[in-house]
Amino acid sequence: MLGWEIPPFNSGGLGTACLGLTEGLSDQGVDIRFVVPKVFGKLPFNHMKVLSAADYSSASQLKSLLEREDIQQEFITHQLAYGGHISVNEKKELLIEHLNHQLPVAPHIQATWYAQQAAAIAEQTEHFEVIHAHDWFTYYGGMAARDVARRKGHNVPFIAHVHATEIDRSGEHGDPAIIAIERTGLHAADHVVAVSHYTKELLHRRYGIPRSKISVVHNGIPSHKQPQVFDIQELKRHHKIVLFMGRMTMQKGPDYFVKLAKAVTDEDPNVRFIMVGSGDMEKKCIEESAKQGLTGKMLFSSFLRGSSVDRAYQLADLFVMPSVSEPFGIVALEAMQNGTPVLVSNQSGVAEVSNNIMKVDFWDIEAMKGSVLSALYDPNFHAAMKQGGYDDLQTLTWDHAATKMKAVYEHVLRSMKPLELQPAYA
Amino acid sequence: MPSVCFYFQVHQPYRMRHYPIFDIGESPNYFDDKANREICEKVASKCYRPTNALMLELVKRYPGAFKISYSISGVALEQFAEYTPDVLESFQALAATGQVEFITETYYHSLAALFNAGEFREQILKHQETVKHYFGKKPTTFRNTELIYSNGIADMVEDLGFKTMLTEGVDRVLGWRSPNFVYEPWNGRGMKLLLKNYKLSDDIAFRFSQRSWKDWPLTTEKFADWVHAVDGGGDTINLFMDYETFGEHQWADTGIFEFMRALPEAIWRHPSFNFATPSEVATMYPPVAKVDIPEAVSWADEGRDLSAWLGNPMQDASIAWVYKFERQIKDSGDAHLLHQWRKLQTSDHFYYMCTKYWSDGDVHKYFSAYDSPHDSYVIMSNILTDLEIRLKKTPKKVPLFVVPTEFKKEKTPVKKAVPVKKKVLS
Repeated sequence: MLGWEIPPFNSGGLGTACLGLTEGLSDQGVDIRFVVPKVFGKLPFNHMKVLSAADYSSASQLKSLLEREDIQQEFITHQLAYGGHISVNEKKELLIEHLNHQLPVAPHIQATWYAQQAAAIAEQTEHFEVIHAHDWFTYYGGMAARDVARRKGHNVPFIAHVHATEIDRSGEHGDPAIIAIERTGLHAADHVVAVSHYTKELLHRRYGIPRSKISVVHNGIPSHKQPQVFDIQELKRHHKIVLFMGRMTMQKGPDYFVKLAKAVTDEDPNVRFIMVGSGDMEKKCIEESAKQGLTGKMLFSSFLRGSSVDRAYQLADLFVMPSVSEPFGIVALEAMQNGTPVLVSNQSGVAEVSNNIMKVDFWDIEAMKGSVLSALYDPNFHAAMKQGGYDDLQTLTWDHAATKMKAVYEHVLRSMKPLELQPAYA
Repeated sequence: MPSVCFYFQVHQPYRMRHYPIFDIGESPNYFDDKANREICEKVASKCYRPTNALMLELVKRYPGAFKISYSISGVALEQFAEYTPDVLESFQALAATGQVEFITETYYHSLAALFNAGEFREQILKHQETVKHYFGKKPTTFRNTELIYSNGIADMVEDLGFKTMLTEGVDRVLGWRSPNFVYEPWNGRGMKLLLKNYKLSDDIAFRFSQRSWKDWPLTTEKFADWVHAVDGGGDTINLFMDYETFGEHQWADTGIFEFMRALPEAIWRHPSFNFATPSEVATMYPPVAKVDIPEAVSWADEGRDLSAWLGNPMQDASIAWVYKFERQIKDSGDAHLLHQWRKLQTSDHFYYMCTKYWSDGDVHKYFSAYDSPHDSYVIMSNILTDLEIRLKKTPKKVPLFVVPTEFKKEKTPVKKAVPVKKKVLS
């Protein structure tokens, strides 16, 4: 399995999803080798072996990467920003430095480097039946590992798992290089897994992937972990609280949350809004709140970890995820697990999995306001959402997701044709 | 016979701690005791201890001749008493020589003059009492926070019986006039006004170690020549600056201490020059004119205006919110709460929220306890939300009569209670 991050060394939902899914698969007897660019420290789990791609760097591979006569050369020189006149050896050292510390490098270089490492790992791995790659960074890796397997005479399928696309993250302003990698990888894959029907449709419409090639496996939550229960904070006794939690980037719609706060508090000044998270829109949101007269009505907290996350959900009377484009949105399930009703945008995958989630278009502030006020002030509705959420979560676990995923593996393996025999003289 | 008039500002705020959302309603501890103690201790060893020793050396070496003045904010005095009592004692030793004047300001180094006249007066009286308590003499000279001054502020100050007031010699106010004379406020009834000679003051405070400055390095001879050039064209050269200039802003290795040690004799090389305290200057020289300053000025940043503390929505909303609590705080009759609230009025909190990005912004960053202006805004919002909840829970008591400072253990005999003045400005 080829990944980008794994908790606790993760920056977002991708790592969380990979951990949950692998735990579920491992319970079902699937033996997993999980590759990340670099392992930064000791990992607090042992259901699978985690491999550090950086450990497989060989000098000749990097050299060949740097000697390729294509546009990547320019990328390296340009992106590393050290001018055009450095020796191959210098470039190599800089590149290792960047890759090892996950510093930004041109997408093609990152993906190609990762692919080389994946090939080296595949070379050294005795036997594997499925290559499962998570998001764009690893797609070239999936292709490379498949090539290695084929050379060894095994037709091993490469499954591309889409947790998010560049179009989700950046809308129309996405990085064309990443979109190109996504398109190449998804078309090359033997099968594609999307985290929602929302994403499946996006892959079909925007990337031209046939629907028949895409299975949907919704994300879940760990069934064995119940959140720690916190005492009711004094703040909650005085105010209704609405929570945003996530990266403060365009994709997550934090600016719509500020607009919502303005609309709601204009009607009911006693509601408090809290935004938890960091990101490139953080300062903008803080300044905009002050400008809109929301000082005292909108509170902020930087990125939270561990049990503090549950504490924040429990502090809230309502969780709002106004994402502009959200392939899934595990945070919504986490909020439900903490007994906090949820309002998400219609542009979210998680909207498909439960009828006990309120759904509104992210841009429709008026409608969102109405939903927020009824969720806050209609105790019956609030209680029903909370209970319904708990009920729905019974089937929204990683165990369920893993069962589905295993079925996808089996389906794909069944449909794989044996490799054609190569003539001995070729 | 012109005088050189030194006034040094000594101030340390109570910095707010990183107060997380989960503390709202739960923790009444708003200030970072650890950081405040550390900073106090650090600045004491870099600046206060060595500089006080130097000043005492000079005052004793030139009895009756070398004179200086200080304004030490009440919150700084409190921190000295708690964290570095030896620093407080060394100031007391300076006071005992009779050659050092101690000036009054607002106890909390606040912007109350701009927001709440009642608070302004109470904080002045509290500081006046405190200075008398520690240094034995009731001050008759006043300087407002950051030398913020306007006709209206002068009026309020004169009402309280002050004989002399200090402010910045702002070019746009003075026009062709020189700061090197004694002036009167526009509606003055005898109170004298001393204006900072910002050119000569800033030569020491800001440019002393600036290697790009054409006059670097600044020698005592060179500086004395500039001072002597005033002869015949002025009565007083007012050198007003932060005391932390010595050893903290200008490090010891810049030679700032040697500069100061040699300065008195260099000044006296011209026989008609002497040193005088602000109240001496005010009695020695007749006022030459009244100055009209309808709009508030200050000594900060390029603009010499209020834009360091006020003007962006984060600053304006926060400070307005702080002052909104006045009635409730005073009705609570809770002296500790009153003290906490007033510590939140300290101008530094709003200075940290400044987002001006030109060269002044760098100075703000240097002096900030936080990573960004947004951090201090977010922290203050959390704290004020907590304060709001505490006030809701605090039963109303008899209206509070403000009693002049009582200090831990060593209680001052309370003479009379000063009743709360009615708000006249808002």
